[in-house]
Amino acid sequence: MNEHKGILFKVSKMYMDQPDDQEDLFQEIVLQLWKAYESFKGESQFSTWMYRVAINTAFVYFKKEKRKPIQQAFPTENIADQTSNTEEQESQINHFYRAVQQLDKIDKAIIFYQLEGYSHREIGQNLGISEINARVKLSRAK
Amino acid sequence: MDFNELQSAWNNDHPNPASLPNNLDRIQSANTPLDRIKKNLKNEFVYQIISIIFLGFLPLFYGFPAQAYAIFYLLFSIFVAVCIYYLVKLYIFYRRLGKTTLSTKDSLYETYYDILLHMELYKTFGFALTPFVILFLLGILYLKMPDFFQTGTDNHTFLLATFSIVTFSMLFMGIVLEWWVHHFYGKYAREMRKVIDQLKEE
Repeated sequence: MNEHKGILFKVSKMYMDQPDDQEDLFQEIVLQLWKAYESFKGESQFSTWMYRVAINTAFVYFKKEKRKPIQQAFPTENIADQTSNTEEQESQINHFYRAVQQLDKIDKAIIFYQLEGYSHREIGQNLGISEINARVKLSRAK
Repeated sequence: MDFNELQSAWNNDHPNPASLPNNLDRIQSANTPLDRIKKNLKNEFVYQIISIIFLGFLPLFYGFPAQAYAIFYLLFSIFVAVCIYYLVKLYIFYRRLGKTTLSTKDSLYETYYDILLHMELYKTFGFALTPFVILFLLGILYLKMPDFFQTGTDNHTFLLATFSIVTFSMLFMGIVLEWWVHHFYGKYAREMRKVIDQLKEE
């Protein structure tokens, strides 16, 4: 799990906009993975099973009520203007994490699987929806 | 933003979260519908058990007449049996929620319908207690106004009072139970329902 913790944190960042909430969701995912580990039968790759638990946990996770979301201004400048390649990519990914907050929970999951290199069929299998539905939702989310 | 550029940025993004917690007991899990339902159920067990014990001492607190003790404890025994039946079922559900894993869409469905089923079970628990509420109110009336009962059951006022108590008890229990179940359990089930609805075919 330690090997995949970066990916699990990416899931948290896609589903929560505040750093505290991201950390809490990350911990919740870890807890759910430990609880669910007994049910892992090795029928799929460990990473696939792990993503499924992480995404399903994110689906039903609530933000802590005491925290108020900070409204972040949505940047509209052209991110291609960034000077170095690394900075540009960092800016792009930050832009992406902010933009993805506008999507619903299922669309976030579909985008996540797409970025992790899953095919439409695999996305459908992981989410329990048809391949066509996955394709439709993905093109709409994009 | 071009998707290929995004893909490249995604691949090069390596967030480094804090190390994985080595003591899972320290993680305060309280932010999923299952956790909230579990927490509310746990509180209910505690309060209901305290209430049952308190009710058992009611004749002592209110100075019931000696002849009322036998009938009170007979009804109280039935009341406790009903409570035990439902509380055991709810406790089994509570334990099952603790072991629930969200590893598949099917588990989301199963858990959602399990919650719905037990919300209905909770309501029937409340309705099963309604006759005891009616008998309790009639008992109070009898203790406070014994002459009223001795006028006989053909007295219109007596029948009206009994009818009012029955109607009030049923309405009160019906409304309170609906609100209670919705407030403590239903709104969390609805969060799960939203996700399940989003997974439906378009």
